Amino acid sequence: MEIAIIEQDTVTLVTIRGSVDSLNADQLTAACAEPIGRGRVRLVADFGAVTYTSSAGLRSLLATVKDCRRQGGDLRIAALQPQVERVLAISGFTSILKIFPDCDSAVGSFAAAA
Amino acid sequence: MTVPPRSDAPPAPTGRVSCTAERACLPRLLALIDDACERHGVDAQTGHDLRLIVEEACVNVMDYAYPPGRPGPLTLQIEALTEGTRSAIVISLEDQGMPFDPLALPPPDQNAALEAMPVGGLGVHLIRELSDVQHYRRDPERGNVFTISKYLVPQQHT
Repeated sequence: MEIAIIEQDTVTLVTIRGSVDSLNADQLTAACAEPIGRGRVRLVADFGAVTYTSSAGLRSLLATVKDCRRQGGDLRIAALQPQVERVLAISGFTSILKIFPDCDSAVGSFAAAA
Repeated sequence: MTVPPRSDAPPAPTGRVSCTAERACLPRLLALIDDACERHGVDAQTGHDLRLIVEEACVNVMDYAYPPGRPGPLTLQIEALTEGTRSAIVISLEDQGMPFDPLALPPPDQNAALEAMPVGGLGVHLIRELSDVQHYRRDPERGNVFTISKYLVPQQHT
């Protein structure tokens, strides 16, 4: 798994590549916690290049979205691949997370709400 | 290493890894299922699901079977079985930890609000949803024996 973080105005784009699993999910949680710790609580996770996530990845997303919403922000998910979307749907995550077809619409959704 | 079966041979038992139930062994365990999927020509979707099942089942043993800091043995066995026209990949896990039936866990509440979203039990929920048959038994010698089967969809030949 590789993580790249780009700040776009008030939104922080977290681009993830590869597999999110039990061996690396803590890195994802830590990478998201860093901007949140600086008050940047509007996050978009770009899942376009994520081919696999286990329940460890789901727990990381859950911890992050709770953290963001507690501070008035949100974690929004963009560009899910079908296999990963299926795992999120089976786990009930597609009803608690806001999911967008691409990064632009996910980033733009924050501006629309502002 | 075992010799791969000849291409005209029926699917046969595929592999077994015995290791200590700790995270460092996870790549070896995942490699076993990935190799089995490749050897048996399993499609990408099913291979994805089988890898997820193996990760969730193994991590449950690593996290809960043994007292913290004192991990014991974990054995993963993968078999490809054919019964009539139906083929399945059968995943078996054994550990010598405390008796624990993962299938006794209630399924997580799908309609839970965010704050009430359960963090435990998700792995077993995914195993149930992504496989076809699950079975647990406590064996006097083999310990916890958790068996998970997933049927293979016949490949379309065009």
